Amino acid sequence: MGRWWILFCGIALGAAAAWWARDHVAPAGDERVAGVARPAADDEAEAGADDDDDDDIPARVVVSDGRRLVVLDAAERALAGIEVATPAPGSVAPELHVVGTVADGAALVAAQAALAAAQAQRDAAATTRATLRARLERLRALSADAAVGVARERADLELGWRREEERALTLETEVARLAQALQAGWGGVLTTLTAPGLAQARALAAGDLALVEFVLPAAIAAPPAEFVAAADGRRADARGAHLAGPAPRVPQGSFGRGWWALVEQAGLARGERVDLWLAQAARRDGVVLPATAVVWHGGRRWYFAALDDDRFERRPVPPDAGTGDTVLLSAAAAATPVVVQGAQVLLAEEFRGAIPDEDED
Amino acid sequence: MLSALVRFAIERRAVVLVLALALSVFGAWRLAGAGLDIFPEFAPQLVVVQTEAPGFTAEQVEMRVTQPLEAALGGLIDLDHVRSESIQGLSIVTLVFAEDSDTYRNRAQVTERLATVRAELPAAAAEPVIAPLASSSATVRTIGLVADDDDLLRLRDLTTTVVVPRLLGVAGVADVNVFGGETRALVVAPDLVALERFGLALGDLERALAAAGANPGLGVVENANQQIAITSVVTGGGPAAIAGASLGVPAAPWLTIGDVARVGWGALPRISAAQVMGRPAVVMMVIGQLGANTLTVSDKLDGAFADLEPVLAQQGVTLHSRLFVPANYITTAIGDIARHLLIGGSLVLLVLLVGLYNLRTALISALAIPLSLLAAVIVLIECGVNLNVLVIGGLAIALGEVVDDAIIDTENIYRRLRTAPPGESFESIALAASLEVRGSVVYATFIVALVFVPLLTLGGVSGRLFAPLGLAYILAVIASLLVAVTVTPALCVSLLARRAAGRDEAPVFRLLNPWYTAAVAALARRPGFAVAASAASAVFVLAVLPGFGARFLPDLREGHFIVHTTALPGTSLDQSIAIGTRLAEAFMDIDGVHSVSQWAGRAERGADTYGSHYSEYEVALEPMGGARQQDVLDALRATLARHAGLSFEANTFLTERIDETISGYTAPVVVNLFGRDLDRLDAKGRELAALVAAIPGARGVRLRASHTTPNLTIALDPARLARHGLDVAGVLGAVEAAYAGATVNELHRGTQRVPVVVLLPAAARAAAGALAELVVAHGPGGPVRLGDVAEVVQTAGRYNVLHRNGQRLQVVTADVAGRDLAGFMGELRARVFERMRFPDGMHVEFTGAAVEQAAARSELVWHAALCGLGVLLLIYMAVGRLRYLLLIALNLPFSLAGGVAAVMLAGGVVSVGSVVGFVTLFGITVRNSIMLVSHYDHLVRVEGEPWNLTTALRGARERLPAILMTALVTALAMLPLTIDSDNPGREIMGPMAAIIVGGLCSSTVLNLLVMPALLCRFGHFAPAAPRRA
Repeated sequence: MGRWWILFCGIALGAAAAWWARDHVAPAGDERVAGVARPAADDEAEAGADDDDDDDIPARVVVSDGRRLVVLDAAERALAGIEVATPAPGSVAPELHVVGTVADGAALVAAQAALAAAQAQRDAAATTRATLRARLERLRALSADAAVGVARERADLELGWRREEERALTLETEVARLAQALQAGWGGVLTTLTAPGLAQARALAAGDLALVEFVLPAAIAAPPAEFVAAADGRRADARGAHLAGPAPRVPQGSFGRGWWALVEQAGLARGERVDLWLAQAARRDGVVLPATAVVWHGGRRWYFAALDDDRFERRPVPPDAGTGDTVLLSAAAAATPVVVQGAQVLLAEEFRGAIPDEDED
Repeated sequence: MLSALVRFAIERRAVVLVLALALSVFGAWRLAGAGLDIFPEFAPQLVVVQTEAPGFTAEQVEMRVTQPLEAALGGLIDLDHVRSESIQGLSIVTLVFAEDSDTYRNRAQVTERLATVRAELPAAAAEPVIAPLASSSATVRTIGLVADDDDLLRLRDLTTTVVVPRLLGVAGVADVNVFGGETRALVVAPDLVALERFGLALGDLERALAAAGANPGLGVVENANQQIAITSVVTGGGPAAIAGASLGVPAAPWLTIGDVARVGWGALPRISAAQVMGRPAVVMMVIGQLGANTLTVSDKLDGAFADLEPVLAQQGVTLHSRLFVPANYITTAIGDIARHLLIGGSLVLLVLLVGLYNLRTALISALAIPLSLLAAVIVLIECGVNLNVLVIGGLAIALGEVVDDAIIDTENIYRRLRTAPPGESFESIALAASLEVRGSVVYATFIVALVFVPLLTLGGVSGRLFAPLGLAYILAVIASLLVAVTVTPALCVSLLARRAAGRDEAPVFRLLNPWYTAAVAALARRPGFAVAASAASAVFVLAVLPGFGARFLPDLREGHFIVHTTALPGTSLDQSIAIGTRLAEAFMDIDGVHSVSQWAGRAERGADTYGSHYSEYEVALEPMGGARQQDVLDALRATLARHAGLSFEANTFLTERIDETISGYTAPVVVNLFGRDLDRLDAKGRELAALVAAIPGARGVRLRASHTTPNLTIALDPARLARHGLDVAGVLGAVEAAYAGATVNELHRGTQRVPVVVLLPAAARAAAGALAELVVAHGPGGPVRLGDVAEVVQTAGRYNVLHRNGQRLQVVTADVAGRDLAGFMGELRARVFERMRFPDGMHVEFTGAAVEQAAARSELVWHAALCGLGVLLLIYMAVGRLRYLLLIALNLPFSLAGGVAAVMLAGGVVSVGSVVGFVTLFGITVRNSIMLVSHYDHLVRVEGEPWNLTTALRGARERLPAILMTALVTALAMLPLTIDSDNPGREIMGPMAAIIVGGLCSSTVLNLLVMPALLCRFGHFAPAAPRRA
């Protein structure tokens, strides 16, 4: 019995020592398994976590009033290079850039002149006819009272009258033809704008204005009346241009609608290409986001607004902010500073779960 | 056979001694000429095929490059599986072969198949390239170049034309991965406005450039006498000549390339960037060949750098040649181990002198150390095993073991010689004394060797790392047995024969014996206490051991850290470098950091195939001890944790290499989802992740291959294309030329081949909104813009597409806490098959580190069980009775208690190295127990002593010197390793040594006190049965 008692005491002693050891001399802290961070475990059957050492990174994304915010203290902001600035006022006037071709303005002028001449001839003919008519009426009246002696003159007048009638018809036909050719070739608006005697006509004839034909997408039904153009392609050197109505045709192979423009530039040769910039929408004022403030995610553009020193909120760039690289926010947005450096870092922090573990296949 | 060997050694001792001397000289010569490396080759059998596909998205790479490659590379001999990753601009196909397959045959097979697949790849894709055959340690040096004027074009030129060729000429260098700089090209940057004005498109410019750079073979003029080659040269050449070349426009023949484009030296789009100490730089990683010795290659590289540095300095370029030097760790570690061997050897000699109290016996015993170790080295080298830190460590661990056989032999011979009756032949005394202990020594040696055999059968990285250590230990132990049966008896007879007679026992044992005898007697009279102590220690060990933490390897103190940071996919190189510059500044503020360099992105043919969002930093430290290195590492991690938007990892180089070599995911639970449709895979993956997260115990559930990256998608409208008379190839070709660059020709600048590339200026390429405005063609009606034939929309694309064995893959991983892994996996499988439906073509596979470790553990358990059975059989053969076998086996936990206590004091974490320590301790304990039992049996059976307390005390007393000295010798040989083990070279051996030292304390108590008491109580030694007449 004594032996069994001693044996039992030995076992109990061993168990007590084991219990004490496991309680007081457990594995300390995080243990690394060749880079795999393990949490300190006592009773749990602990297992390896992912390869990264960043299990102890504090949570920097909080939800406040239903809004998802990234929170960084001063040291974290300095290390991440976060810079904040109030966006500067600016404006955007989205423009459509097209390239047009200088047309033969002299031909238009000549056509106008020809029409004018024909019209003058027609008018002269009408005057002559009116005179003849008056004489004929007088003769008719005389012939009714008088004796023989006016019949021959009356006959001559009637012959002359018929000739003038025919000539008037011919001239009218010619005028109509020329007018129709002008309409068909140049369009009604341009024809009207460049009617002889008008300033545009004189300028076009003098070569101070260039007639440019260009094509716009069919969806644009009413281009702006005024825009700018440059023969050398430099927007900074652009001159004024005026819309001169729709063109009756488009160049072969083009799609869309043709238009005319009168460009305030002398010395352009026929066939020369001219760059035109037409405002697509009214100029909008607001504040401009610098390109460094914009990040792309999930198929949209975003920026980070600094609610205060520590908190940043990701906000979408409005669809109407511009499709180019100048992003215009409303003036109301000017009140909130935006992150101009480090936006990508904030995006990465907010979507930390999307950062891949590159040590895995 | 052993008797004959011992007899031969004694009778022909001169021959034996000469052979031993010759062996020593040969071994020393081979050791001096052998290179040293850090670790054995531990990388699995991999062949990696990389194919550059500039400008392709991940999906395009997958469909057009990766899939044809996978189809072509299937079915190779010894191929285990194929995995692939398709990222933007690059396809990586990794073929994993069987571990025992031939490396060169594997590569030859792959090369043969690649030759047939080129025609199936898109023309824009480069040739598939097999990654060079590199050692598992890979990097042998990292260097950097910084120009005074920060001219990255010039830096890259110097790198490719001067530095890299020079480095590739160094024997042992497999490749040089280059990061950073700018690759020179002759860039023809189109003026889109000018092109439009002249009614031209990018394609016209490309055609003109191609025509301007034509350089065909022109043939020869051959007459009766001579053959005269015709050659051509464009007067002037270079950018001016190209700018002056005609565009070939019939309506404007005077129009030149320079009228519509700016021609000048520029850079190709980058795939990497680098900086050194905050300055823009080129960083190069020099990769060692398979089997190349790191130290040797590193020394040769130093020679190359000595030649290059002054030349580069003259050109205003600073060479940073020591950003990362792995050889430093080898030198430090080997030096440390050498110091340990010296100190340990000196302590061993001291113990031998004190214990044997005779210089000659001490020297005879001590000679076994170099003889055994050199013999093991010879065998290792001749078998092609390279010497490395772990092999040297194995030999260091064996230091105490190899001398034990000689001590036992020498001590017994010396004792018999001292007490021999006059007139007896010294040779016969020595023979008898040697044979007396031979049996137990032989069995014990084989037992010690057998317990290491499971180490040799370990698979994976563990096996490749630790098998050489085990082999070195086994060879050293077997060599020590051979020395003990040949050289030791020969030396004893030669040196001790006439000097031992009448000598007294060593004073230390004269002093100890009375105390020892009294202690054994007291315990023998109360065997219950011995039983209780044994039971207590068994309970303690069995209860505490499973609760220890586990690690594969301890933190290595290499004096250098590798830091990885990963940002969100889509982060630009400039952003990565900006982040890196700030981090580098913060790292330099940490006390002890010597230099910091960074590379971001990837190199061509590099092993690290990541996007621009990935960066790696080399942080070199000032010389410092392990504790300070840990402080620096903690400071680095603290700094990284403060940086928002980054995932990071900081480790030593070797730890990271082992990490990377452990292929696949390291999470315990991995569920692979295979399917055909990526979107459906993602959806099913999300469903699976939610299901896994709902299982009790699941933690950190992650859906892997779902990372997105911002895309601009060009949705071409076939109807609009047709209206404009255009085709997809022409339109996309224009986009490719504008944004990816179209190489239309090449110039020769000395030996440098410079591509002529049409590429939009960087500023134009930075404006995403300009893509829709790009003129892709010119028709009679004027320019046709991309927006006229397509919708350009922002989308979220895939960062990568993963395959395994040619199937698309989505992966869900999870950790487990609070329950056993097997139960979790069982519940996971049940829920998945019960609640989820897999559409046609989709299937699921359960794997993970848990499954792999379970398989490896199962294999290890079987091997260990078989070896354990072998050990038990050997013990039984040595002791002859089941009773003694059980006594020895049941008391083994007692011997391990000291080792367990040592682990507790060291933090309660065991590694594979710790297991080696326990195995060593086990072998030593079993050997000493066998010796004790064998001696008792000899006293009763041979010398006719009755089995009683007196005999038991006598036997214990006679075995005291051998057991105590072998324990002291082993413990003191290990002691220097345990001191301050958190230092270079001692990280792995330190825990082993601590367990051995701690365990020897309890093992010695067991063998000197507990076992004699228990044998006295439970042993039944009987004299030999009388022979029948």
